[in-house]
Amino acid sequence: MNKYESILTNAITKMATELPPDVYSALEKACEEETKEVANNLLKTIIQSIKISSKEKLPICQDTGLISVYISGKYVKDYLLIKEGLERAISKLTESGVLRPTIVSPIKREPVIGNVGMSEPEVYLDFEGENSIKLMMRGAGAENYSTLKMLLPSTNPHEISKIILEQVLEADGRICPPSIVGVAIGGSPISAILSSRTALFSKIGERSKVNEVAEWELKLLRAINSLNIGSMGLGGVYTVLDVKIRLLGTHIAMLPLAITFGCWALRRIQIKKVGNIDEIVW
Amino acid sequence: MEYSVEVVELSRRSMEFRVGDIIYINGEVAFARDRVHKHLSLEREILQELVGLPIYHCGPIAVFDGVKYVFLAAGPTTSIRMDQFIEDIVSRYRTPAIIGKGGLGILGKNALKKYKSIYCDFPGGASAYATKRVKRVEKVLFKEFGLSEALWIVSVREFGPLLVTHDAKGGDFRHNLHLSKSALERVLFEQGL
Repeated sequence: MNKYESILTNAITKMATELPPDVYSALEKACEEETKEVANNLLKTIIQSIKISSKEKLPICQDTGLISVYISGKYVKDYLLIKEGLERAISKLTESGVLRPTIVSPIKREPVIGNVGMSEPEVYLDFEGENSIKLMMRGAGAENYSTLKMLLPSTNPHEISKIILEQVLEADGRICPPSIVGVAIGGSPISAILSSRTALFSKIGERSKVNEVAEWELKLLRAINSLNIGSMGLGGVYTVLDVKIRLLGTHIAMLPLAITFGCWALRRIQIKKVGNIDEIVW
Repeated sequence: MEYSVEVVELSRRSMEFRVGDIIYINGEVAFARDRVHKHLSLEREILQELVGLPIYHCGPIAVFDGVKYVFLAAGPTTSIRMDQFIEDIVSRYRTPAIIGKGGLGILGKNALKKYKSIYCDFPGGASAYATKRVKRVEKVLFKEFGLSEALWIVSVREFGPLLVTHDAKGGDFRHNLHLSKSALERVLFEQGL
């Protein structure tokens, strides 16, 4: 067996059936603090469901989504092996029901067997990053409201904040709140979208190292939570669990703004080298 | 109010349910999503298996255990994508309830009011929880669409909690629930944004 197949199989299974501890704690806190009865009951059911999933190794959500993979550092040299192991793992897990047969061709909507083919899964390489293979499941509820806007360079932070709030209102309960918002400002259309998504790898509560940005994140978090969208859009004080903002260098004539949402079932995991051993960590 | 209702009673009692009520249902439910809705709206011949059944917007993870299909995950999918097909289906199939997440649009809501049907939200993402309320899979149709897009006839026990969010009188739980775009300047000002 390809050496990456078994560890990727275990990592994807864990990702599909268990919620990262930071996300789980944030949901529990939201449940404790939620004052609206409907939202409070929803969160209780959701937490109960997560517990059943991790105990019985059942997928947290039936939408196991598109799997995206980010290979960095020394792992990049093993790209071909990792890609092969990944494809085998995904095919087999689709057969055993850890993953749903979700991927189809875009026009005829015909199933892509085993969720592998037509450029899926998507894999990104980063030679310079820390030694890790990061994985994320992207469900369609949240992904359908992820967006890229090419703003005028003169757009100010107040206007940017407003556009983000408008997008949150537009997404409403369909992104399965309480959600996590990744924002990237600047860069190119591609780097902005990518960075707004990889921002979701940072743990709930982890703030930007840039003070001004950290402050912006917290203000946006409070602003969004005052919209009364609430859990599943049915009202409540918790619409988002966290907001992440990334700033990227951009062109003098451009200002890309990318927003990526993560549903409450934010499924992410990573493989890291501990000494010489590959280990699965949250 | 909280109700435990037999599926066969849903239609007769539809005017009793109000937005905000919680319902648990017992009996047969059809699990279906995008492709089945589109197909049924194009296909004029009535599919007898679906007549009178609630429709749950769901593409489950289903595995065949050698004897039967079992669901490993069965949470709701976003209903708004099916909005344009609701009137056609509810009118022809006498669908007593649509279940999903996120609610319907103006087309679907009008259709429910016209045909005295209701819409309920199942807690989004509560996939494992939903599987525990599935008694058994009775039948699968349109397997050629793939198992995630097939039509499943499923027996359920105390399936819920279903929150009534559109009732048969045209009530909408989400109406004016959130702040509107016109309030955003105030929200931004309050946070110093």
